[in-house]
Amino acid sequence: MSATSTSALAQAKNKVDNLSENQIGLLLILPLAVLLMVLYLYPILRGFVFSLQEVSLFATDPAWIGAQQYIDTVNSSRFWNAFENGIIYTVGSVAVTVVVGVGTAMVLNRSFFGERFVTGLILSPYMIPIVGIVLIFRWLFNGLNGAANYVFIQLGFVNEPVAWFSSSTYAMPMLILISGWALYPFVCMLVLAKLQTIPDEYYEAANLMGASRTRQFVSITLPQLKSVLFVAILLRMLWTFNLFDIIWLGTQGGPGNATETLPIMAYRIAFDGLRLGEGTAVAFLTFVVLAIGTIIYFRSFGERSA
Amino acid sequence: MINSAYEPVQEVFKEIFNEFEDQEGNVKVEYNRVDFADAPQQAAQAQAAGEPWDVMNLASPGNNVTAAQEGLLQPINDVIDDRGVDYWNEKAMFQLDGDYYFAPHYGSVIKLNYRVDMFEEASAPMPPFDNWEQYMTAAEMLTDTSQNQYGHPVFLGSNHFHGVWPMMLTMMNGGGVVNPDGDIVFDSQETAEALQFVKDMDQYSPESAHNSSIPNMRPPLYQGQYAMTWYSTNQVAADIANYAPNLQGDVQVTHVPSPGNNDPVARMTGTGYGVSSETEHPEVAKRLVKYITEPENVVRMLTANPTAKIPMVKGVLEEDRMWENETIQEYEDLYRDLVGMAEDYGRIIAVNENPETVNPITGRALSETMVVGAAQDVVLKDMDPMDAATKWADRMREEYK
Repeated sequence: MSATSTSALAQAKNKVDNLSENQIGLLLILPLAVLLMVLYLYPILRGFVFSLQEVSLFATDPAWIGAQQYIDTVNSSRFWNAFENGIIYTVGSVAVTVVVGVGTAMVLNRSFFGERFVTGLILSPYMIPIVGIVLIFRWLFNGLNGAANYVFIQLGFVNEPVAWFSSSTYAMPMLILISGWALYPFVCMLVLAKLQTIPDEYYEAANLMGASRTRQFVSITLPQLKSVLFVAILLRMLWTFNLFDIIWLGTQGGPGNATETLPIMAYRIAFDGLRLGEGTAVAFLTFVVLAIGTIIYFRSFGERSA
Repeated sequence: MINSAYEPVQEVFKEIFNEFEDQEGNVKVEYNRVDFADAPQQAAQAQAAGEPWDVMNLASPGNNVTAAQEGLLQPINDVIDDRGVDYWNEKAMFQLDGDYYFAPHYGSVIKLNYRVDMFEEASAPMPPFDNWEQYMTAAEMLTDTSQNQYGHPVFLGSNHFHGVWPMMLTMMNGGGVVNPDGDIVFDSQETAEALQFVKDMDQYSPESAHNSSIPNMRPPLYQGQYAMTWYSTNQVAADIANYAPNLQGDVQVTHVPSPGNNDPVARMTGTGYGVSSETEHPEVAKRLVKYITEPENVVRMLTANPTAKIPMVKGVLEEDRMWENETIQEYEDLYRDLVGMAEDYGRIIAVNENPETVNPITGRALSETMVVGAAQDVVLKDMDPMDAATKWADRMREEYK
């Protein structure tokens, strides 16, 4: 090694030694920050620019139109229909996953023969690809020759086959049912983990005082689950409102636009209509809706669940 | 090269490219098969990144023409002139501002599939139908809800494809989306009558058809729940071979009927291949386009998925190799009916609604589900047909001003 390079290395070492702890920290996270900027921030900013332009999927000669697409979208009945559908779908789906998830976790929290096998079985919906789950439901609930219709007719619940995925009355409940079935294991596992940390002494004391099971659930279990339910519901709300695959595979937003949510609307506009700018504007509005929803949620339940 | 060929045909494309590479010596063909919805974006992004796909077929006539209008493609008049314009099916040929941009190879045509055995059992008037009344009568006679059997499904899915049927009915009734001057004319009495016909037909359709996915449009025909259904790519031979061998001969094709006072219209695809405006190898790209559209190569593509597509290059049915294929032999009558239908009534309506006038609006109105939106309003929301036509015509005027 030459004397010049030795001296340069020594100088560099001195410079690093003289850096403050904060400066070293910044230096260390710099590569990751740059990577994130490139992979995460740039596409978002680029998307935002698209939302301010009239640009087709062919992406040639975009015309700058400012916030016009946002204004037009917010003023359209289609947006509010998709917004309302998103709220119904999210509330319904989250309610099903939480009720079924908590109920299942309560059962699994007890010791019984075959507990591990049953736990694995209950987790299985989370391991099956969504496309498989939706296809199975579509097959079971096929409006012409599905097994569900056959059983319901035999049992006398209905007189003729019901078009589960093609009726504006039943399509949304079907999607909620699929989402609930496919996604409840997430809530179940979070709740089960928390249940196993609740000391038995709480329940023993309650038993001694003659508290009923319902009373124990309301006064001991639920308060203990508050923090985990807060997170589970928040995450499920965000994911469900943004969920695309189950709706797209199940109904493609139809019949008509009876099950069209904001992500489906964004996709249809961008990819079916080739209007990339307008589709991106809908996607950004979805982000705004979710951000507002999250703030309201935190303000309403954040402190109480801490 | 980029296209959206179905799986069996992809292999033929690869073979053709290998042969082209051998023939050219120092050329390597990179082939990218993309989905319908992805094609425009993939092509545009590649071009913007300075690495354009040299040869493109962007899955639909609408996408292809938009690509040309957006400057992604260059004129290929020399390719067309070299072969002579008569080399191709004239219905698939059109010019933009006096230039040819596409060399067609094969396409599809919308037709009515029907079950001969079910018609015979119901003693219903056998297609082809001369008018809508006959069609309605047959649908009624074929409907037996106690047996879960319906005359004809009314598809109202929110995608471009499901808009094609109401669009064809509207055009056959003398209506349309735009007139030759480019004015929106969707809010016409003719449109309203076609929408009313869709609503009337709904009496003989199961509700489950309304939101049927595209792949699910055909199976109920083979299962005996629909006596008729419509589709584009002709999968009858493949479907029967795979799912219902006992139905051979019982499924036939005919044109979707007109109301009687006008000729039928059969929506056709098959605009074919174009060359990138920014290709660094324009001559090789054009030679590849010519190679793809040589009759013997078109035959190979057509026989890869027998009877599915129809040729857009003339004289292909006279090629001996075409008839060496067993499936095409078995379905010769059906296949000739299909080709005849395209010759007699075929029209690339997405961009060529009015003959000799290429417009980008009709394709957009279809892909942005405005046409099927009108049918949805009439059937699903019980809206007055004229009100629905007016609502969507106003939307079109607003969107496409």
